[in-house]
Amino acid sequence: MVKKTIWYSLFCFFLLSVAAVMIAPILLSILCSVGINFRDIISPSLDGYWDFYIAKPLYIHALLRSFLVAASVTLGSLLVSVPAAFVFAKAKMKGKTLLFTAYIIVMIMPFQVTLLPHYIVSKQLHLYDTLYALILPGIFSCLPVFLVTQVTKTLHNEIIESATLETSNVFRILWSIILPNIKPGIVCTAILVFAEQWNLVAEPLILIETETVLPLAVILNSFSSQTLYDFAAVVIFLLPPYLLFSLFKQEILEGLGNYNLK
Amino acid sequence: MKVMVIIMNNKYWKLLLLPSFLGFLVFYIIPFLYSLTYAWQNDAFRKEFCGLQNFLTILKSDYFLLGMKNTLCFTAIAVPLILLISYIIAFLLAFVVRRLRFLQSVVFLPYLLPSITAVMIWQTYLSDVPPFSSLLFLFLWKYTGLNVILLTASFLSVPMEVLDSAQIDGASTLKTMTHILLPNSVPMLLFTGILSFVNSFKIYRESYLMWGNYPDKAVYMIQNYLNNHFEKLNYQNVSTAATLFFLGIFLIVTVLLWCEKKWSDQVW
Repeated sequence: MVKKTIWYSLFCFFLLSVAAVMIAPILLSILCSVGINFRDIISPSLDGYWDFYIAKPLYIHALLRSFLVAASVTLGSLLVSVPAAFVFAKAKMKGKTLLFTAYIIVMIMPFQVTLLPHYIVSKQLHLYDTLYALILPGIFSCLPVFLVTQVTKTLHNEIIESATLETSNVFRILWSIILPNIKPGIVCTAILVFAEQWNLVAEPLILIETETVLPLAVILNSFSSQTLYDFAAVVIFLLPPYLLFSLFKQEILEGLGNYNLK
Repeated sequence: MKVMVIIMNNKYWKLLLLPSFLGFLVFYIIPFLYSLTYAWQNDAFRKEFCGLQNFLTILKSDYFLLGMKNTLCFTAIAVPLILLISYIIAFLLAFVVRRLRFLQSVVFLPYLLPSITAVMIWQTYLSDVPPFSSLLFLFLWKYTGLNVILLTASFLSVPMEVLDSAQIDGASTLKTMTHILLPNSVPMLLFTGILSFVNSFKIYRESYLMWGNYPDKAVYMIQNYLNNHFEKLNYQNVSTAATLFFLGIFLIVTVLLWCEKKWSDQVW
């Protein structure tokens, strides 16, 4: 019995320390942003936040751009991918499986493989060096289609069947029957897409030249000097995904449970 | 059922796929096919077909081989490691320390956070750690939580009756683990394996944020090769290397998927 308790507390200790490591960077960057750094002690102050706009106007604009990209990609990709996922999950169509496989292949390729195609298309459509070069390919990316399809597949056909008896309007079925039923999955997908776009690094490096168009994730890099302002910016930068996470914890856990490749 | 069939075959319904499909063609498929042509041309001005010459040159290039070697090394170490760690954590959360199950979401948090957070803290406190282990640690930090959530869900979906009846039949905890849980979680383990494999290539993000375009030789990955040659406008090399990289990933993922399908047919 004693042996069991020892093991149990060891496991608890292990899990708690893993969790502590996971959230350590957040706590440490908050501490660094108010001047508490465990190497050289600067007096604690809130200067990093107070003078932020005066010292680093570049960061505020970049933050707004990041937000613009992430928000419009999240909304746009849901608008495009929910109807598409509906077809992939429930319609009978020739070549559906083949097309879905193509989506999956494109989804799993790292950005560097498709670096040249991205550059070519943004040059041809005159999107190069604008935020649209990030937004448009983001809206049509394959990840949200895949995720929403997996969720829609879990819906029973009977639900749609009984809806078709009431109305023949596909959009109404989609809006008032399908959507409410897959809400956790949609929320989860939206958060994953938002976080991914918020953290874009490789894409802006290739598709954007001018510094005043780059999003914050690229401008904040660690080979620049690390001042109070940089850490204040990092803390501000991690707030939106953190808020989304704490608001929708349950939906994320529930939504992720549905995903697999079948 | 008849109504269902009519609606299912409704033409207008399929039109819902159209926006996504057009975007997919315009932004992904057509440019991808177009970019492939660069791999078969000798230079950007003459644009003559030169057969396999580009592939032969690139296979002799030192930096390409270095990048390939480092990427392979990183993936071969990182993926099994992350699977092992997340398997243990998920097992503990699902069956042993049930009270701490809320930690699932805490462990997942780094997946949503921007990489720059961890990178800046790493540079402030741990900049002396060798580059390869730095990247390995940052990878584990970011992606363990995703695997933990997926694996815990698959553990919890094993019917309790099966586990109970195994126990009644006198199976030890170890036996239950190896004979019931492990075979049942193999499809999910393969799925998380594919995810981790794909995510292991995203480590370029952390690498760039730490060291910029020219990192230490020990972590010069194929992604750095592609990026740097792209910036030198060397499209033939980029296209050739990307084609090889694409084929490699495609092959490995196909094999993994095939294994997953075969295994899940066997179990269920």
